[in-house]
Amino acid sequence: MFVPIILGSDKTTVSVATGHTEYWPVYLSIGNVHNNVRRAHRNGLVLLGFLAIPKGI
Amino acid sequence: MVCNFNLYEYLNEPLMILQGVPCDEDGIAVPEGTPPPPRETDNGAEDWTPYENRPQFEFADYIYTKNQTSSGSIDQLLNIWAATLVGTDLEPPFLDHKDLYRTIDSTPVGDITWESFKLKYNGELPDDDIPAWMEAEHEVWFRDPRLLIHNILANADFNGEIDISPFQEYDADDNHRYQNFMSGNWAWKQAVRVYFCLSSKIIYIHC
Repeated sequence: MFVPIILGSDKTTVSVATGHTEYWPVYLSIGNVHNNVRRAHRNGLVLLGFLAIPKGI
Repeated sequence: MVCNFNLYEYLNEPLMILQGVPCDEDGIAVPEGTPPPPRETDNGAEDWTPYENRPQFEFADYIYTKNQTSSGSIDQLLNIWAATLVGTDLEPPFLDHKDLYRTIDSTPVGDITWESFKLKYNGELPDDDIPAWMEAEHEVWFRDPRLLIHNILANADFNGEIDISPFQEYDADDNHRYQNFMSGNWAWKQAVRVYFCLSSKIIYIHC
């Protein structure tokens, strides 16, 4: 089965920044689900992880 | 599970059809309308684990998810509730906000463990004024993407709103119609290889 993976990151929604590091959420979705489902956030877009971004680069 | 390619052979008119046919775990197509197998965590409609019953779940869902009640207000509400039950064998759905949070945190269904690894810059360092980030270890937290994708694909809420295979659609005037990701050219090109075998008029479609 062909499952295209869609990844995205958006700093503006993060709220867990601590110390000298910011954590950017990385979201995952798949191309199979329809656009309206992905936009509605009905678990069509899920949190994959947090990228550690050191402050001051 | 889905078998993603079918080979159709017609003597006079080769026809290509890419269709997501539901199949079992051995890749054998199942009859149309066969319901999906129950999930491993599915213990029936009356199972509200870790909640004791439906009202307890609905209370937690309303208070925490919908109303986003503060912890102090949750305690106040539950105290009032408990006061109405004095002298009976009944109890409010939760003792206090900690009991509520503990129950929510112990929800097992669909949960995928968070994992982490550390990484460090391993390029060349400048001779002086080395930035702190170049020498520090950085932690990355993630959940297994394969399991996340399994959960999305297995989500029955998406029934009818998910495309199992790439497709191409044309209107009466032969204009290519695009709607959603799998109708696009990129998806089609990634997944579809067509081999012509002229002598036998067979078209192979490979996904």
